[in-house]
Amino acid sequence: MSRQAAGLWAWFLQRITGAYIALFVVYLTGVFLFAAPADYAAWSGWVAAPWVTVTGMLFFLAVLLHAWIGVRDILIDYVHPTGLRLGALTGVALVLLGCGVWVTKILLLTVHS
Amino acid sequence: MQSKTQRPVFLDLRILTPRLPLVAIMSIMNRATGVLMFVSAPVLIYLLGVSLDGPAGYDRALVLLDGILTKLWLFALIWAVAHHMFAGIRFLLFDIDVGAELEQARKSALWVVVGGAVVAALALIGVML
Repeated sequence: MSRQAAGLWAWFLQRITGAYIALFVVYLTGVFLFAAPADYAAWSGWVAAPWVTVTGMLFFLAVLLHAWIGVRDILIDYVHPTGLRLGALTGVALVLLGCGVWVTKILLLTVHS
Repeated sequence: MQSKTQRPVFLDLRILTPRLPLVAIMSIMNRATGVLMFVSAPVLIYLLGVSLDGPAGYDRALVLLDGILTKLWLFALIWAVAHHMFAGIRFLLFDIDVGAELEQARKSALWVVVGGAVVAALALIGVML
């Protein structure tokens, strides 16, 4: 992707991830409203189901990308000194990467061990 | 002095529009709710991890979720998700040229704000019932 089209790429990604997140949130809401897991066995069993683990991993990946683009745009709008902006962007990126590693560990190791 | 009178005159017409129109409020709320969800993500992941850490962890997560502060936070989070989702649907519709005219955009901004608040109110009623 060329430098000129980077903004278009972000715009596109923000919409694709947003649409997926919205669908998954509707699905989650439906599960918790109409078939809420009642105890640990039901809860961990639901999360461990391959369909839920895979779509859940995709959900968190979409959330991290969506959050990165959104928070990045906000920081670029309001934080102007270059050093401060770079520091803030780096901090946000590290937090999001950390969240990604953490939730991957939970969904893949804790549940499937 | 002649040149001075021929300069373009700046008429401050901003006075004719509201200082913070509803569309702007909706847009700022979209950013604020986004930031709230970003900040909340690590807490949610922490709760997810605890709840999946054996039956004891599951019980501990339920206790953590039962606090009044946690409930207030969850209420704000549900409001945030709903508002952000409605705002997102509005943006997606703009992209396919639906409702991009100013008057429609103003109306849909109102629907986003009202829709988010309605979902939050429904969640509150659901918890209390």
